Amino acid sequence: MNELDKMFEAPSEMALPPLVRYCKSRKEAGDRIEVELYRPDAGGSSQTGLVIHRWENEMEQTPYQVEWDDGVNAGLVDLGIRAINLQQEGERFAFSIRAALRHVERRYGDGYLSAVLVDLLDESDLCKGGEIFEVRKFVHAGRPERNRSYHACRDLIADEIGGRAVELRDKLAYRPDEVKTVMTKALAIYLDERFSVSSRRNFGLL
Amino acid sequence: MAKADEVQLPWPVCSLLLFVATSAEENALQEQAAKLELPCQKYPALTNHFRERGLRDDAWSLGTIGGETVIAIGCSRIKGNPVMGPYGRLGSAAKGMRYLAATGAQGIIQLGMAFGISRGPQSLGDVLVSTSLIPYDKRDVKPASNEPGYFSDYSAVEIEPARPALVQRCLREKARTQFGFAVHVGAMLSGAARIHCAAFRDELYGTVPHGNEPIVGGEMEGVGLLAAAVKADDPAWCVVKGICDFADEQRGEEIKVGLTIAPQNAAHFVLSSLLNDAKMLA
Repeated sequence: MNELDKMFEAPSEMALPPLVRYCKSRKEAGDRIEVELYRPDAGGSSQTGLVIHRWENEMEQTPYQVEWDDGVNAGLVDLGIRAINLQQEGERFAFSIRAALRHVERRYGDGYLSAVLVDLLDESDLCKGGEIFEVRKFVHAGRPERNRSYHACRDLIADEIGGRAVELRDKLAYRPDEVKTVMTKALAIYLDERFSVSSRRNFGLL
Repeated sequence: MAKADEVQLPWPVCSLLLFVATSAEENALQEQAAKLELPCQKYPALTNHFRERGLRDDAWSLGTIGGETVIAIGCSRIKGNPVMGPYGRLGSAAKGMRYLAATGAQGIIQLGMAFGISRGPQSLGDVLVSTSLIPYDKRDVKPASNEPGYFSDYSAVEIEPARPALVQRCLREKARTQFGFAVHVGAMLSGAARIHCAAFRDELYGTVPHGNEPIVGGEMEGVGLLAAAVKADDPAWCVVKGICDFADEQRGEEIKVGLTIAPQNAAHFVLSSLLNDAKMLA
């Protein structure tokens, strides 16, 4: 009987990615685990790393880094593993939003998603000032016709973004003010990267 | 009042770029746009926007089609001759990077001509859609005891996925519209070689790893677009090309026919996909 044959009797943890399974076992053993994103350049043209910090009996162990993976990150969120601070949580959730909106992108196309997303943000209090507004003012998007497709697309986007806020509250146990801080950062970063705002600034085009 | 060419363009300038690499592909795109009653116009402000960034290729606006604002970029030329393939100052790698930076587009579709793998299952003019690209130049050439004294080890090849949103649009179009040509979706071999040899084509087909997708053909520009991704795991490109030959000894003759129908069909397929998505969103 080899590894494959054992699958019929495998414990439920076997369905998790190996790193998530490891973190789960360490958490159950009482370790504290937090994550950090490693992005060697602001433009994001390098592979993003996910650094795992672990404390055993309050002693920090050597951190280790893996390539960013949407599935692994989702598994770590399910385990209640937070980022090391709110800024990092914002960056991490910018990636989570990107992953969550991919199916909307596939369904409706890039341009339509961008237009409906900007429309949705414009009508939100989140965009009345602050970090999102500072990015939004450099972005142009056409106003899509408000028909059935528009509302279906808008609902999907709102559900996915709202779902990430629920994860912050329910799975990562952040307070409401912290959830708002993280989601504001995350949306601002997502918008910035989607519309290349910082990268244009870096090239002297803004 | 500002002149037309001094108007500041909104950002992003467009969401989708269409690239071509030859005059035949450029003409095919314009003809198909006219046939489908899509605008395909040059605007002084757009031309000026690109000129200011050192980009001198012809550029046409196809307007907003459904959710996408579309700009077509003509072939790059040196001394009047089109630049094909990924390399050089005006090759597809440089072109992709520069135009993405200049427009803020999310996606690039490389239109044009490709080689097919097999006559019979495939015909001249059939359209190939890349779900992934296989940069076959990335290989180890090792000594071998039998002729010709070496072999190519392709195990280091990394398969590069195309932009899912662009592939998905092509899949929708394939499912909903009947064309006078077949549409083959899968992995495409990509490299700078112009192949005229069935033995080499078959070696690639038979030995290059292709992941979970079948190899449906090969071409020259897509590999350059791998450089154009703004983010590491967020590809910008998809290759959609018509079969103009089968990369074998008949290439020279066959391409005379393929040159006409292949880029026409590819352009028609992509523009039709945009129009039908626009209807879906209306």
